[in-house]
Amino acid sequence: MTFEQLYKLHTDLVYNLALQYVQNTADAEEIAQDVFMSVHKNMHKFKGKSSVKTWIYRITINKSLDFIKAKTRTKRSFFFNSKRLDDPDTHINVSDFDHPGVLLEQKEEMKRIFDCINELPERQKTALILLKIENKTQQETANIMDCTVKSIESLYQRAKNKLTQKLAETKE
Amino acid sequence: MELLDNIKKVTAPDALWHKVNERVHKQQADIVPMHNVRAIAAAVALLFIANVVFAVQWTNTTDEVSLEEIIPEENYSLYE
Repeated sequence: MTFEQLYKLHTDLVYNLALQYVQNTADAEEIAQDVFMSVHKNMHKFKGKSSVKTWIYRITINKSLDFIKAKTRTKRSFFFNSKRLDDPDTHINVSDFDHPGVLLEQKEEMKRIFDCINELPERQKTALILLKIENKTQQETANIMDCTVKSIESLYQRAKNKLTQKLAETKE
Repeated sequence: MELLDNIKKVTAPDALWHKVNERVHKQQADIVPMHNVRAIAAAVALLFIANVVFAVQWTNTTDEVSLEEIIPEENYSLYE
């Protein structure tokens, strides 16, 4: 399969998954570019131990998490610099919410939900995104996250409980 | 949390392919000078080895020549 064919088959998958992580079109585009650069660089090394789709899912998840970490670091350093400049209103907000898959009338509520999702630990967040938003089965999620179905069940349950708790806290 | 079920799948922008393609070409262009760097490094290494081999051979050659062959004994005397 050529690189162009790989791109055409998986571009929407990559873009949508990146969107669930960063909730911003510009950032999702940047992640998608990084993903396909990585695919191009490593496609000859791909041994076929998993399906191409699973492999691309994994790259997208890793690139999205790396992107968030890098962005948080930049914002944090900006935050500290601003603190030095005595600006008390500065706060860390990883993404500027611009999710095209969200209905306009639900935008505010969705932003609140995603703010809570963004506070979850990485693996819980990934399990929740794959199962709840990407509608993957537990087996598919386990393959992508390279763990057992049992751990996926546990991760999802913990993510759901924590999210419900956080949502209740932010509503008050 | 049920609202998460309402998230729609969207199509990736067309411009994305052009951006990816551009970066791929740029990456490939960056690889070419690396080949040149490797070739130059290999040539320098070969020159160095050749130099070492030459030096060793030259040293061996001079070892075999006795001083008498280079400086004729009758022309010089330390006691004169």
